[in-house]
Amino acid sequence: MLVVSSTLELARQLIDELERGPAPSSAVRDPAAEPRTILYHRVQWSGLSRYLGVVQKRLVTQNMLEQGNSPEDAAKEISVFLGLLDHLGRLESENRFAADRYEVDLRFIP
Amino acid sequence: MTDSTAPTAIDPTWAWQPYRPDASNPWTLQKAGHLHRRAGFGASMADLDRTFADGPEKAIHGVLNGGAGLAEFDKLMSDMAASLDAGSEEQLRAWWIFRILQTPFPLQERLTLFWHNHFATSNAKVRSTPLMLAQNELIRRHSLGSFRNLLQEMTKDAAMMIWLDTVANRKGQANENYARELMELFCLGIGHYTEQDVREGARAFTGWETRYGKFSIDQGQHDGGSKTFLGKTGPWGGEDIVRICLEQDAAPYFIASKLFRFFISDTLSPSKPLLDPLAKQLRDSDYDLRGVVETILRSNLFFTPHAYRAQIKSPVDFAVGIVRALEGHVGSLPLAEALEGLGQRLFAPPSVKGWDGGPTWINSTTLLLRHNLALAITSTEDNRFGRRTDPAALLHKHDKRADEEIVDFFMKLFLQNDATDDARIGLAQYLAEAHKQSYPPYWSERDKEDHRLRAACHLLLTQAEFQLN
Repeated sequence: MLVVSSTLELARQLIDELERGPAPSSAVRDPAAEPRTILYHRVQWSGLSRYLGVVQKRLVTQNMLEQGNSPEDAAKEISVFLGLLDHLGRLESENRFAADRYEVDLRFIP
Repeated sequence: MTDSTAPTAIDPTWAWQPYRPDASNPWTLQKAGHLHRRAGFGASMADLDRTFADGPEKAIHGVLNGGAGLAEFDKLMSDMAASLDAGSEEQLRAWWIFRILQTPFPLQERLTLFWHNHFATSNAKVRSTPLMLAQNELIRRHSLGSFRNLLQEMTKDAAMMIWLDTVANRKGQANENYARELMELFCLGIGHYTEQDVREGARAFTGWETRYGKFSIDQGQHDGGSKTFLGKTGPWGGEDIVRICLEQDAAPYFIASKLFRFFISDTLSPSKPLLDPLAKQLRDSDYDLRGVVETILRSNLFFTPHAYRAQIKSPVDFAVGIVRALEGHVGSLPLAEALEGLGQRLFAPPSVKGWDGGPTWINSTTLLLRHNLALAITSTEDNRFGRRTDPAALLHKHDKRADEEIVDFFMKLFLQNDATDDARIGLAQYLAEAHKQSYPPYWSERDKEDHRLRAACHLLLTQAEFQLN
């Protein structure tokens, strides 16, 4: 699990809370603390790679003009980049908005 | 360069006769370098050595025909052009600079640049990179072909028609812009036409328009009536106007004069008798450019002090010359941007007259910027240009180690040994003193040595002689 926070102190508190686990089911639930909105995002790097593959010629040209590379070297650089994107798998995020808190859950999935 | 055969007053017959090396006027490394600068964008050490070994006959044949791999290179550039971002003038400029840097046919690119300046169309008004690209390719196709065909096609070129308002030329409301510039700037010069000729010529271009980037005529807006233009009367259309212009005695002289300024000298005013042979050749060959360019490049005059280092390098000449000499690679996007800072923004000449060129290229600001650009290209520390145009790497490749060898190598490569003794001594002293400089403690001995070599190269590129073409 990845914890992202704005301060080190907050990160430690969050980790402590996570390690402590969920509250007993008998505890009274505070309706105001329930998430009101939950947003899910999923970035599939292979999809981005496929899209960029469509405009690969343009990327190669851009590389040649920016770097002065030969067509072969430029094509190789772009190919490596697209391969890296394929390899990254996907990124998922879950954003929970409640009245008194905001939670983000980020997951890198190979 | 010395030339004992150059007369004080130039004899036209002698001037355009082919240069034949002899004991008193031999083929030299300087002449080989001069050929590469004027008919291209400078030379690598291998180019210089080969050209010197070939002699003028074979070397000029090579210059006129380009090197191997031209068809493949043209295909590559077409593919790249098709992949440019629509509307990106920056990419278009970079595409052309890439072409100039890499071309196996430098004379073709040099003439494309010459005709770009002659027809001086700017994307600032055209605002269409596909149309500017199409004009660039039109120029390249005819750069060593027929000036008649170039001018006829340029007259119908969409970018030109927007640039000089042909598209706004309507029957009864003739726009005189193109007719005027056709005569004043493209083929005759001031003094060879009247205001009445401008008005009558403009009528012939009425109704000309572009549809989807292609030339067409709106017959309803075309004035098909009789016109008297440059003394000839008839129901002339636009093609007739171009034809009549090229029939004028002044036309071949005008073109010969422009080529003279470009290839020989932009400070020497050629007399009419001096231009006679070139003008005659143009007229007799129906404006064949290749023939007259060959005459100029092979001529006695081309290899005299009248021409030798008699021009100031344009920003493109300056920067591309460094990269080609160092056998390097730089991004053409950042280079095109740097050239703009030096006063040469391709596809956007400053006016219908093009760049003034000559001494106007250099002032206190642009000279400093030239020095900075040379440093950026050769230091390998500037992120814009990377580490692949490296004087130190070139010296290692040619196995030059001793300071004397290094001075000799750079002097030969960049100046063909034209530098003064003071410059040579100064460079040698710098190399000796540089050993005593303090460097960051984490630099290896190789780092220090390479830095010393790059700095010496930069010092040479700031010499006055290197600013001359």
